[in-house]
Amino acid sequence: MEKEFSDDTLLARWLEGRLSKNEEQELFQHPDFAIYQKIAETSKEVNTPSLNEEKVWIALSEKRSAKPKRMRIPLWLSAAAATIAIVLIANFWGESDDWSSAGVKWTTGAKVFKELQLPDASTINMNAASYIAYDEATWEKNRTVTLEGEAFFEVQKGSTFTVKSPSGSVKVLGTSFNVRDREQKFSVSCYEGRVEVNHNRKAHILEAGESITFHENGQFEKLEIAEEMQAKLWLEGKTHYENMPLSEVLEELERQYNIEVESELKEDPKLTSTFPHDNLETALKVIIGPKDIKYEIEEDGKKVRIFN
Amino acid sequence: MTSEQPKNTCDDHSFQQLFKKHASSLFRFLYYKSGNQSLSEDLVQESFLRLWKACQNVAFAKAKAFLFKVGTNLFYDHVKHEKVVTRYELNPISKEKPRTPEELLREEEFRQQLEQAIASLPEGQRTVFLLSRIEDKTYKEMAEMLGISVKAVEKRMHKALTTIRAFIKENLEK
Repeated sequence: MEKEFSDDTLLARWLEGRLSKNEEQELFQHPDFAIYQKIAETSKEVNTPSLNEEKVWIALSEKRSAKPKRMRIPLWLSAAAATIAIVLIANFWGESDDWSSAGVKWTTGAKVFKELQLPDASTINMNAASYIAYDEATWEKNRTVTLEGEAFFEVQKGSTFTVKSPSGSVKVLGTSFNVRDREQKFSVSCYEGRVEVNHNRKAHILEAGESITFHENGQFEKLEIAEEMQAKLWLEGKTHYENMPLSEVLEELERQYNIEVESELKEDPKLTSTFPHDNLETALKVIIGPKDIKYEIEEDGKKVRIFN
Repeated sequence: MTSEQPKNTCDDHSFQQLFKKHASSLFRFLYYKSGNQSLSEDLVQESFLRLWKACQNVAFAKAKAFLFKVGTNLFYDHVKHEKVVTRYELNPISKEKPRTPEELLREEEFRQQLEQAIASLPEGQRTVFLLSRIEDKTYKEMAEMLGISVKAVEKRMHKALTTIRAFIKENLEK
């Protein structure tokens, strides 16, 4: 069969308007040029169904969560972040001598969680933007971990296990507990066993089911954990807050989403609720609730403005 | 440390961002290949799941290429096992212009032929043809998407047009 056109890309280039004068002549004189025109035109009408994104996303989310997420945090990421954090901590807690001798250091960035296995099979779940250090070499006789930020500990039975944080220390025997030392608050929740919390040279004993929170002004409150149990929710990708000033809730939001929040509000109401870590819009709606407060997420999703 | 763009796709935020950005275009791409809506939907889901599982090894900037590659491979795996049912529907004829019954009949006949012709195209030609006609993708964009040269895309496009023309002519003249 004779070739229909002098070049086997001619029709393609015609549609993009890239034909030479001669080629145009050739095409226009083709007996079926009208049919080609009609094909090109009519085929734009092909009906394409659209994807039900929400349905696929939900199905996908279920399949994704079948695998533990924490295992997927790449080592290099934590390692890179650690270098930076050590500098910061040196600036802030320069007089502390614990971290400098420790052999193993971990820092989580915003939005990053990390599960650590200690040499004795105790585990630490680090919340976002937290720092952990311990010495592997002397672990056996000196089970001491340095913490800044927030972490959940599950401790194997054995010798004393101590968590030192800038605001105090927590000493335990076979237990699981949560330590949070951020901004002006230091709080410890004991889920199992018994812990001794040292703060301002005073020891406080926590039984299972108790939690204690120290404020900057030296006051502290001991709470039943029943409600406070929720503090552990961050392990499941949620943050629970009770009677927490909006400004503090927003700080937590910044950490969980790695964003910057700019609040133009004059008042600082105390709030109680739980926000998710995987949907910023939902989180903002939960935090703001029915109050007459508006929010605006900037285009790059990195900054949120809160105003009346 | 400045990091405007995540290094890989392991965190929820960037994964969701990628989903919002690419899920629909991947879906249409697979639909042009398969002509099968539910299959395309399944393949989109599976492609993203594979991305999630491989997230440590996929740079954020490479995620799109990864998704289209995996989607294509999954599609080929699928057609190995069963013949894909292909049917493309054209939108109904616009009734705005007044037409005679004869004109409408001829038009309708042409459209039916075109639907069948598109469905009968080899998959490679059809994908290029529909991406160009419906999505106005340039040959350059398609070349990147498909991992072939611009010239190869143009050849496919040209061939698709001559094949459709031959199909329609043969059937209409019967």
